[in-house]
Amino acid sequence: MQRRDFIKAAAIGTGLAICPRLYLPKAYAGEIAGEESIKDLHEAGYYKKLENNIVECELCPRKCRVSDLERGYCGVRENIGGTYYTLVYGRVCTANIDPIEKKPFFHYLPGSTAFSIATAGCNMNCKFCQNWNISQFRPEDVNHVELKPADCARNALDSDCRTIAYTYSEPTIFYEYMYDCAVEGKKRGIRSAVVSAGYMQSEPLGDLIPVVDAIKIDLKAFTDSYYIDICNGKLQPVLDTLVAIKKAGRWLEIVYLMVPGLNDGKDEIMQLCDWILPNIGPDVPIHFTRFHPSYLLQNLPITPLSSLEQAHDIAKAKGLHYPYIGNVFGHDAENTYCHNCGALLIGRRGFQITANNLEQGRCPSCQISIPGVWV
Amino acid sequence: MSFLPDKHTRGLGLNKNAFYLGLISLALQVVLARLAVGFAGGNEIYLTLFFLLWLLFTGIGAVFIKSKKTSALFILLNLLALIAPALFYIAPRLIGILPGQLIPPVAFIVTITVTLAPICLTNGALFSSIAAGVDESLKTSRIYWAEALGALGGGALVTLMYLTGIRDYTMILLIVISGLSSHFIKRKVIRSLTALLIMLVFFWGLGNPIENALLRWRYKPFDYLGSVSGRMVRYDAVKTSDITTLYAGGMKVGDFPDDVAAQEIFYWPLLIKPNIKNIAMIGVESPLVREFIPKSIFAYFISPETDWLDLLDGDYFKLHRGYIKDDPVFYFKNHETKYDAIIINLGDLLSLYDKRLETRYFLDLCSKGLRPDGMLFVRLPAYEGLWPDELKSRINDIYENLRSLFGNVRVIPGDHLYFAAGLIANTDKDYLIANLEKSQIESSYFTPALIRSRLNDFKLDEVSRQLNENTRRVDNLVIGPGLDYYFSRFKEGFNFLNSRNIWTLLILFAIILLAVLIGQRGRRLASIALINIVFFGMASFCAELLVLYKFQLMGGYLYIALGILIGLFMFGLASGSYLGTSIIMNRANVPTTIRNGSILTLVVMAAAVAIITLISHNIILLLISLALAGFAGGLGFTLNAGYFDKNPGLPYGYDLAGAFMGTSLGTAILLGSLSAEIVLGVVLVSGIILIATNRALC
Repeated sequence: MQRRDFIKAAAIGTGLAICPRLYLPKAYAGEIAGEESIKDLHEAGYYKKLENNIVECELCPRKCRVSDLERGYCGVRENIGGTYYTLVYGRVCTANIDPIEKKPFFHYLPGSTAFSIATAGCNMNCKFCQNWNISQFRPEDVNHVELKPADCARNALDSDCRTIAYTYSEPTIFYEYMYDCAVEGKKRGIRSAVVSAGYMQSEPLGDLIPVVDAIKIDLKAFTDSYYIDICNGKLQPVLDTLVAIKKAGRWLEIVYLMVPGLNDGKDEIMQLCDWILPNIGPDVPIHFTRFHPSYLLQNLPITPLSSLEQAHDIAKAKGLHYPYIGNVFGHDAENTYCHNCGALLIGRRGFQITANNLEQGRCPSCQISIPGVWV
Repeated sequence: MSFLPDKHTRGLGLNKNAFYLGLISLALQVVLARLAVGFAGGNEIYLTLFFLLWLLFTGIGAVFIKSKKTSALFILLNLLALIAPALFYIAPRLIGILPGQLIPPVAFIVTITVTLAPICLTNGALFSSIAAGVDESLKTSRIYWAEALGALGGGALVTLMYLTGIRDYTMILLIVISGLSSHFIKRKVIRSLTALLIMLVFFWGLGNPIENALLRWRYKPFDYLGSVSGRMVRYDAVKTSDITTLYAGGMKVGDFPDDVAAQEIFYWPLLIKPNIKNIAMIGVESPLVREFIPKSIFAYFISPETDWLDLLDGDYFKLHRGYIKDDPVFYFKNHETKYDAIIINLGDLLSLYDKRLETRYFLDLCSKGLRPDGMLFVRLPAYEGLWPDELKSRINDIYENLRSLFGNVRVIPGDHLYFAAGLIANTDKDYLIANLEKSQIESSYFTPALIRSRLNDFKLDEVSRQLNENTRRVDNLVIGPGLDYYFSRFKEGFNFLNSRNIWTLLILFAIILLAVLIGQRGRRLASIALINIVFFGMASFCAELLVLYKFQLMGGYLYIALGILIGLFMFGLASGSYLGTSIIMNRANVPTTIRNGSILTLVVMAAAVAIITLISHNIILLLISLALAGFAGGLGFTLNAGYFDKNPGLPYGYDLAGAFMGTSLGTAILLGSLSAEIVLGVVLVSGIILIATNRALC
């Protein structure tokens, strides 16, 4: 064989070999379902059917318009023939028993444990995400176990957990599963706590609030530019969520992760406190937590203690009753003090409760009622 | 130094311009590679991308740019060298990358393209223009070997200078001043004054203020403290209020202080083995953990570089006693000291440099550095749930390696996972809590609640189930599955993951083969020669990369020896090209010479490949294989390039295209797409087929 003939044959063979590969369809929901058929997938809630098999998701403020066999931004909801399915219903990729203080909830059943679950996916893309191993992947890229809502509640009960916590990734994207777990939990006396970024539409939020007991919102920053540049989201919907939860009377705590150089400016913290006071009141605990570098920002420094203390002091001076410093173990601002008389109510050392002096939710010293869910 | 072509060369001679071109381009390549590593955060894939683009643009320059103005091109190259480095500092801010943010692949490729394209195009054009100016036959071969020799000198010179602690911008100034002065200055007195100026630049570091100003801007909003030049990467320190952060080549080494990290690193081993008397730590910095270590324990910190300690000032940082300046692999290979405990603190697998600390080979060396009842602790980032496949592969590889060496391997789950390996390793939570209560540890972080939370049955079950699941096991020769995990965090990374198959490579080969075929229709011998050149360029570059990776795994700190390694390759290349040119010069029958010479080259290449593949831990043989790969590359090129005197840039361009393909293969290995054995096997088989068709045609 002549060289040129050989090369021609090789090139043609290679071309033929690669063609089928190039035209193979991308992964679709059927692959996620594995052995199951698409019929076994769970239909998503909160979406609108449009023309030409297009659907519009109404779960989060992105309002993704999704064509047939495409997915929304979150990567876990897929349009199949004009019906929108959730691909993560009952497919849990993380399950742990954590102290409730780890969420963190400081005014909600202190010292208790939470059966904490998550699925893959997220409707934001925070460059500092601690759980990017699950939140920034599609379900087919992450290992999971099947856990029906009833089994989830039973597991929580068997593990002596008083709460199921929907956490790690963004529970909004596994809304249907979270809702059903909360309902199943209620039947067995297990409560539900949501750890969310609050990037949700008002209707699903309104439906969720009655079945859960506490919500912690990660307020990423108090500027729209930060939300756009660092999180690929927007600030206003999150503020709306905070107000809605407060109005509904559900227990609410806020976490503000302080990323050095990006959202820890004095002015920003002052503006944040100025917004909180009139809109959700001084009794909402706010946790200024230390940033530990991760994901795309893993080369940033950790948050200096002075920045956290400055934010804490600003919040206190502005009149917020329960500002905390988080992820700095042993710091005095981990403890809960009575906002009226300053008495120590709950002592903490990391995730450990060292003292709980509350008497039926009241300060033992001045007898004032302390906001929270204590029993 | 004259830039005029040497018309009176007899025999092979040494073309001064080509020698100087080799010298300056390699020196520039090293400086820019350092800056690219710093810009991209030390990842070897980015380094190979740098080389890919360097080769691509130089090849394009050599083939497509034709100019007789050699002097003007030299001046242009020097001026571009002044501007290009600044782009590495400015680009991240221009494209909105925060200080401390990992650079996405697309942003890296765009920045490198903008930075390298003008330099490399000029570089390639210079090669062609110098070769075109040679009067004798075998223009390309003559220039090639002189350039290879110059590159050998350039590599040695730059390595020596960096060893003295010179920083990048000062190095650039030295290159540019010597380049321009040699062109413009004819009078001896002024030459002497220029030499004096060069010495001043060297000793006073006149480039440092420029570099500092750029870095100050780059690191905003943090306060830039200063930099020192390491052997391969630059160390920077920045301050944010009460935290000092140290970077090595753009990657964070650590925050000082960081009490949580420090306690996590030291207290778990102390609780598992409370009777520690001496301990060796790898990947742990003394200023971080020293204050937590009781005075009764002798702690040693084994690190290949310690110059950065000068950047950390104040009382807190005076705690950095106990350093052993050595590469951990070298250290445990060559020292007999026995320890009660060794801690290996691994980071995210961002580079091969980290990978070498988790191979079975290194863990075995560590096990030999332990007393009979000693324990080895390995800490690495994980995840408190079900692990993604890439992470699971990494963790399971380490676990399997430890299990093959130790009788008892226990695990502490968490977002950082701790393995404890030894004859007796007890991580029962009650035992650890009892030890905590007996110990002098006073910590608000390290509490019984933390121990219970980390070692609850639920988590232990989940972790042990995942540890026992079969995962994709890959050869330990080069990289394993690691660096695609790094890229998976970028949305672009999914493309890398999805292209993890042989088809990607086949497409690449098909495109290049078709291009060669279409481009060379009707010129049979030229076609043979060009394909041979592509093949040998590819094979030698691929072999070089593999040796570099493998050396790092078994020889330790690559950057200490990088000068020697590249020097060996260049020595082989220069020798091979000298021999190839000599052979072709004295043979009348070119086709026969090409055929026989190519067989000889293939035999040399096969020897190199056999050593790389079959020899597991003999560094001397590995170094020999590197020289052989270079030799085969030089020989293969010069034997085949003699045919192209009318277009001397053409074979050079094809050689670089081959090297481009070799680098692509190297990248595939780094991504965990292909094993080294498969790549080398494919290279050898294609070589045999190639030579077989050579025989048929000649």
